[in-house]
Amino acid sequence: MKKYLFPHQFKKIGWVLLILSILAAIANLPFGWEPSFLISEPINIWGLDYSFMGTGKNYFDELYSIGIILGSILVAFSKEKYEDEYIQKIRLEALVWAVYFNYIIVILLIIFTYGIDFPIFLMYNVTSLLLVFLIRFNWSLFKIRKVENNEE
Amino acid sequence: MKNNIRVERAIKRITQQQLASLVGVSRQTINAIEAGKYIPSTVLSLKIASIFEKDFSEVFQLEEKDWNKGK
Repeated sequence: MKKYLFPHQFKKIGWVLLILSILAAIANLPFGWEPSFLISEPINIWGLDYSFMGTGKNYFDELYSIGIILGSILVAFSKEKYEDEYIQKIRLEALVWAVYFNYIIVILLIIFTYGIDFPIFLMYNVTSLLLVFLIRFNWSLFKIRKVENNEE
Repeated sequence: MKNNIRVERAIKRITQQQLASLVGVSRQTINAIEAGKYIPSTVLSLKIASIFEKDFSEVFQLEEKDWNKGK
């Protein structure tokens, strides 16, 4: 599994990206704040106008959505300082657990949400699998590190 | 699978951290193996036995319940 993981240093970069993106999402989603310089202007190539993600649209939400996904992938899939076989077992267990948990939530959403609510919840579901994995994995690591002091 | 790593460590007078460094894993891993929470891979078991200058089967022993696993 090691060859599919990022080097340990990427974990810090991931945390910065993830936290900044989550703060941006908090500023944007409930409060509607968005920086005005991020409004998409058409790009003129050989006399034709091409628009990037829709002309006149603010692409702040696209940026932080990608930021949350890339940030959480980097945090979740960077090697730990000692990425040994035991950590990998814990990582795999957390991943399986997160997939089950996430899809139980999706099934509940299918049953209990209707109409316009459902696609809105699915939008959050894009990042929830990775976030659930992060919480579960770090919780397991915290647990094993806490009991490490029982050495005679 | 049982092991007597804790005893062998005491004989050798090395800590979990020292053993962990010698075989290239984290201290948590040695702790989990000693506590029977984690069964090490073949390579790691052989490395641990080799640090103690013992045969594999002197450090690690099969248990009755190991025969029931995976059934």
